[in-house]
Amino acid sequence: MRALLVVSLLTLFAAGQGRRTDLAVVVSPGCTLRDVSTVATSSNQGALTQITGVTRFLYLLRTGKDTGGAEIRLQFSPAPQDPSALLSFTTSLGGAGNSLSGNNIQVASPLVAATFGSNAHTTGTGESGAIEWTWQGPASALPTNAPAPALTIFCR
Amino acid sequence: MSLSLAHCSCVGLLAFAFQSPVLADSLTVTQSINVTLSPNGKLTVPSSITLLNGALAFSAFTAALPVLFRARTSESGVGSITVQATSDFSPAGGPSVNTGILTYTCAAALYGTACSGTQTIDTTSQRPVVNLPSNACTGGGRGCSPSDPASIDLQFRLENDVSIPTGTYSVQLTFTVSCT
Repeated sequence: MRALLVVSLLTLFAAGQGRRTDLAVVVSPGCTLRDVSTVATSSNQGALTQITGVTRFLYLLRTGKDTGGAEIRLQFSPAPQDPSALLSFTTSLGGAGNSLSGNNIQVASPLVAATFGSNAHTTGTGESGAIEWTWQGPASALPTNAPAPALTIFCR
Repeated sequence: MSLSLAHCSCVGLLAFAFQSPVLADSLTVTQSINVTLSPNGKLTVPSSITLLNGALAFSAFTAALPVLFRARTSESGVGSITVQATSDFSPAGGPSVNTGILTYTCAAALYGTACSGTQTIDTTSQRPVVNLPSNACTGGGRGCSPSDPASIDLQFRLENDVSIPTGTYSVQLTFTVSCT
């Protein structure tokens, strides 16, 4: 009984000298685009007008480990409304992800330029990407000024 | 029967009371009480806290952690509070303290000398929180800390490394107070 008491006192004494705390963190999916820039030129080829541009960007992302995913979407504003204005694009990514492309498509809504699967990661400084795009159609179907592309990224 | 016995007892007590001044005596004794106050320390921290990140993507996770302490050091002694990771984050595969991504800074201590600069947590070394001088004591002012217990706030920061898989992770920190 005395030994038990001594052990108990020693335990209490030791506990009084140190304390523990649990530091918890919830790491969620995240993504962002940086340094988005576009260079575009316009040219005429006979009756057709071409507006060609390259939109470059830096992307950082982390998608959910099991059921996550992400998309980079491209939208022109104002988008040419004439159905004879057609868009072609090719995406290239410097890191993880699926680069998408399209040829002579009518664009009525934001289009998906790149997709990412679950547990996808870029480096901490991000990865570079680019979308080369071309609007083509009759001069009357395209604006005189190049439509400005906007990129957005969604992740889960 | 029982009433009668009770009555007899009261009478006996009264008789003793009236006689007691005659029988009283006085005796004065002195007793020395010596106490040895040894250096000692005790601290309190929350059992758990959660690191939160800001609105910007990949902004660092942060949390404030208050450390409450009581301490007494000897005339020639000192005191210190330190912190160390007991083990790495769990489950494995998440952040690792041994990559230097978990750091903290100390707010100004109301008593003692707080750590300076940014301290990096790992599993191999105890990092400083507060140093206490000789003759340190907590509570009451007049050379002791004005508050009892004394306290210091630590601001923890975990870098939001993009390469960390999503999930919930935790690491156990051990705070130790030592007084001599």
